[in-house]
Amino acid sequence: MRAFRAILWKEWISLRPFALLLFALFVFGLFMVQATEYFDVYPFWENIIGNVGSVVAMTFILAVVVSLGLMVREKDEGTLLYLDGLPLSRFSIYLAKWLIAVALLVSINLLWTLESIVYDLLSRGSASPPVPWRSIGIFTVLELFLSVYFLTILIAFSFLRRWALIAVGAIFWILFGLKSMQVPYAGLLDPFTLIEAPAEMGERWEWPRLQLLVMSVIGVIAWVTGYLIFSIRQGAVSAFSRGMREAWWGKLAGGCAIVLVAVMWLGIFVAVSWEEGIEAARAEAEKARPAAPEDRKKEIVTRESGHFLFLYRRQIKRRMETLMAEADPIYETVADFLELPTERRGDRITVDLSSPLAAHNAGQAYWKKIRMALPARDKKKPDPEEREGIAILGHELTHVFIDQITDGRLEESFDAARWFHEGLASYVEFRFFRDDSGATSYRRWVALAAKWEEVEFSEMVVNRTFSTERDPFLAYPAGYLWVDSLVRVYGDDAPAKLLRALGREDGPRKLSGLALWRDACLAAGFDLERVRSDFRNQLTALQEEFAEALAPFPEITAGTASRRGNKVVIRPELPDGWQAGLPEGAGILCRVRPRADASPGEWRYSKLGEDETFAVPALPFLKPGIGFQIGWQLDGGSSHPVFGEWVNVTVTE
Amino acid sequence: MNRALLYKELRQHGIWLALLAALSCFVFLVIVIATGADGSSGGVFFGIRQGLSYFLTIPIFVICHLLVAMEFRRHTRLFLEGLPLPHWRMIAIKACLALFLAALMAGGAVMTGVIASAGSEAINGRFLGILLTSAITWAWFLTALFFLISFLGRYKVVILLALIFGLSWINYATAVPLRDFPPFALLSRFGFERDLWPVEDLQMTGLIALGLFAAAFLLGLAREGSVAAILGETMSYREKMLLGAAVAILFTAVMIWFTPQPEPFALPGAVEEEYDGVRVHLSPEDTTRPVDDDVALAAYLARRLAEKRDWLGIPKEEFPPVYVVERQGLVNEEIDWEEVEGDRVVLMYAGYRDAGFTRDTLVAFSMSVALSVHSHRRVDKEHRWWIVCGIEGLIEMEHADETTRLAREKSAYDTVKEHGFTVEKLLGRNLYSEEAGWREADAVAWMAFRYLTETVGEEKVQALARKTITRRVTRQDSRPVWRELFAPVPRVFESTTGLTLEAFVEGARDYIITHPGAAAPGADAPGAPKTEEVKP
Repeated sequence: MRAFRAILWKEWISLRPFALLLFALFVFGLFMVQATEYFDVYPFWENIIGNVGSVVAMTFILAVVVSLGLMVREKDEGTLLYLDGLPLSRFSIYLAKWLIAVALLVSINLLWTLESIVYDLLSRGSASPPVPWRSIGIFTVLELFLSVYFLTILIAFSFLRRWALIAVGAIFWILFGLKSMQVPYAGLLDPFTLIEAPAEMGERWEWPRLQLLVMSVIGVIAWVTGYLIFSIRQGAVSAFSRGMREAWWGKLAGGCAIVLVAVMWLGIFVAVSWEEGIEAARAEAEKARPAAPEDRKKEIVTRESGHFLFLYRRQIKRRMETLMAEADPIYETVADFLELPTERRGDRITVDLSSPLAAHNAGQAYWKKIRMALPARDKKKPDPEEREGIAILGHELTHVFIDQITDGRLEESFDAARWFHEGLASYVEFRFFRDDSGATSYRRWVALAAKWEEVEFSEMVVNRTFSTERDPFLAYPAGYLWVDSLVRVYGDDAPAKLLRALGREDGPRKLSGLALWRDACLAAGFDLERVRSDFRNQLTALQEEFAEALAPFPEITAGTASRRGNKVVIRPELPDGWQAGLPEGAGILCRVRPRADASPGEWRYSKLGEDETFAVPALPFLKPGIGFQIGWQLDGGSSHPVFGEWVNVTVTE
Repeated sequence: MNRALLYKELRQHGIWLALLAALSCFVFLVIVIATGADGSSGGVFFGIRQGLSYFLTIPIFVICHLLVAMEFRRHTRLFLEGLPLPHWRMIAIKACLALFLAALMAGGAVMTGVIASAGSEAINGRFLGILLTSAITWAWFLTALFFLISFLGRYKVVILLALIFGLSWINYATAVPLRDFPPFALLSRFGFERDLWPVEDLQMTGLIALGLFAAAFLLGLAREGSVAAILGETMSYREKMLLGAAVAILFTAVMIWFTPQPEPFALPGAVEEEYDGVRVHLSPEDTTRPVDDDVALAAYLARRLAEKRDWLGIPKEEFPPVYVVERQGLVNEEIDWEEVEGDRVVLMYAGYRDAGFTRDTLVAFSMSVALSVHSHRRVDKEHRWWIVCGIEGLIEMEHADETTRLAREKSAYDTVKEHGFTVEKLLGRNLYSEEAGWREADAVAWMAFRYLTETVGEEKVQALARKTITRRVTRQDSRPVWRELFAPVPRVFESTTGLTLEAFVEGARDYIITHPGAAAPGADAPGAPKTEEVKP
């Protein structure tokens, strides 16, 4: 025991400089916060739980710094031989090193948590909800668990020496790929998702038992593996590792390992990229293959018009002739409306109709390039004049011109400008290239969303929250209506003036949120508040106009979720007799997300099933906290359902 | 001799160099295939651009590490220095080899894209030229950068990390558009610009690369025992700690002291009036109606705000400009407001022409929001906000007619009767507002300040306001927090007015009870719904 105490002390001495550094940084941080911040407005929930990603990343970085040299340095510097001469087993040495490192990381994390709790107590007011002690406790335990987990795993990897970080990086990418492919249970292996707080502070934070169990097993295996490697005596292994470092076969093996990692990662990347799975990928590869002489239909043809360079497959030649005949007038219409400078009108826009597009995507625009597809022929709705293709081209061309006129400035502030990009493109599309039905559909959509209080300009200009709290597609009709207001208040040339103001050379860069639009309107000589006012009035008027038509569509804001076999069953609280007043063709659907910040790719959709419930596969929803959103299909012809607010629920077993 | 030097490099690192070049080609091929299958990107050259930006840095870094840093680490540089060769020639051979390999990888990437696009990209001579020159010049810039960094020996990793963090920080946290500057500009429209040669960007990137190479030669030509020897040694644990701490502190300090540029603010269509340094802008919702009323209201607002500003002792130059946007439909005299990042202005939305919304109400609310802006929201803390509400009540009711005064008295009376009035309720104003309604809590605050004025005199009330709610607060200055911790409001209140808070609340409660007021004619009977929204 005495010897063990001695080795503990020796390890402490060894890690003391780093501990002092950490403590100094902690004190420095403490000083900086208390000298420069209002630390009495630092609630724990917003400050710490709201930034869990940073907390976990910091814990990981500290674990990397502590662990990578912890065990191997003794071997590399030859001091392990001295330690072997002491009356101590390798197990004792390994355990002592591990304990000291764990104590160091745990201590610093506890200090940070304690600091945050003090700030939280200072930030409380009379109307503050009770201190969420249970949540703080769970957060602290999970954070400490992560410290130990990271440390243990990284120590096991540290024996790979210079390859350790590459191996960790490879595992990170593999995990990332598996999660992106939504492989079942892959999320349980990701330590960065262990701390997932409920969406609301008042909700009960459930322990992620399954993930804790899986990670504990991995941690124990890593600990034992690390210990076993540490226990191997010098000799053959050293010769092998020297060979790995210096001989040609070692270099070759290392190179092959890198190639293998790259292949695995890129393999995953490729697999993730293919939206429709392997079959679709094969079909695309087939398409991409150069056309055989007997199959000239698939050949890619290049044709020029005054303003465009079209790339398409020969099989759509006839349809393209119709589209190309209209293409230059489309260009002129949009360019005139947006007042594209003459010097920019000389360059041709490449329109690629030969490459595949993501599912449910009509077109995409880039700097001087458009990728689009002509919609599949529908015998019920013949479109000999290619009106749909013309509308898509007009929409995408607007995006291209927005970028050209603003010199790409809106890309820098895309979070603040997505609604405008889509809104202006939709406005141009509806005004010049479609009949009234498109605009009416958008107006009805936005009227219902406004009735549910989902459309607020100050929220639209922050896309990351607007898209996660509302429907990401709501930016289209809401943006359309705002642009309509802009034109109503300041006339037809207002969009062009606003674009020029956004792209002015001496303008501020990378503005975000409302600041971007205040600045642009000011530079254009517009009063943003007038446009906002008209926008609000239009929303009110639309709600009145569609009041009767929208009456049968209530917003669903409550419900329950339960696990039944391999399904998660959602039971929304639908009003009595909700089906009675629905117009013909109208319907209801539900989408479910595993957590508040899940990307749309992780959402699962369901149609209405038996007993007025919705069911989605349970595998992507391994944690108890989920959210669901009920959407209304307003009629059979409506292109997009209108979704209400996200309802956060706990899945019951 | 050049050939011998070249052979030496190839013999020494041949396997690695071949492996890296092959691996790069392979990776770009996979990227191209993946991009072709991915329907969400802009074509094969979009993928190539991503590869050039993020992936190409790795093989070029490794190549430079092998060619330069390994000579230091293994001390083979000493043998080379013993050869009867000019030192610069050895370095030049290394640089040329690195440049050749970088050009090979970048050019190979572009050509892979051209072949893989299989006709889905319209390639012509100009487009291909733009792609190749941009890619190769970018690769040469990376080579020059890593060639220099490889000479930095022990400080290589630290400088690299600082570079990565620094550039990331500039890109995400500042307004500097990195992508517009060379060398990054070369890749910003890579694959999408087919007409215009990026001549300026190419020239500037070339110059930057030349500068970096010159610095690398300067370091590389330093003899053993001087700079090179110091750089070549391994960093001690203490040195690592110190450098780590220095980088961390520098990074934290920059993050904290970085101030985003203030946003200029104006309402172009608003009516503007100025009085004694107070600028008021009113923006009516209906732009077609005559603005005479708004002009008069703005002038009144400016005059009254200036008067109250002086009473509160706020210096003229510190008082923020006031912007009021009319918004009809805000019920219960509610107002709304928005923060203007970096600019200290009052931006308020109010239905100021609605019935019941008097011009004194507008003055009072504007002053409250102005105090909030002036104090950087510090007065919004509830143990201070009741003082703001009391002063606001005094301003609002100063010229009110008897009926209005009686109605407010009644509101305060009913509220105290129903919800009580204690020190906890005074300092815990948020909860009190939630229980009783913010307009009702305002009425109580006004009556309490009326009582205070009558009891201790206006001078002491003025002194209390000046000590607690009128101090200008700036960003990155936590002194107000410390001040509030060590001189809490109850203590300041007692020292200023001579009353304890308990005595004040008790007296105010009795005062309110003795002023039951009267409902305004036509107003709802007792039991009318409380105002639900909490004022900002």
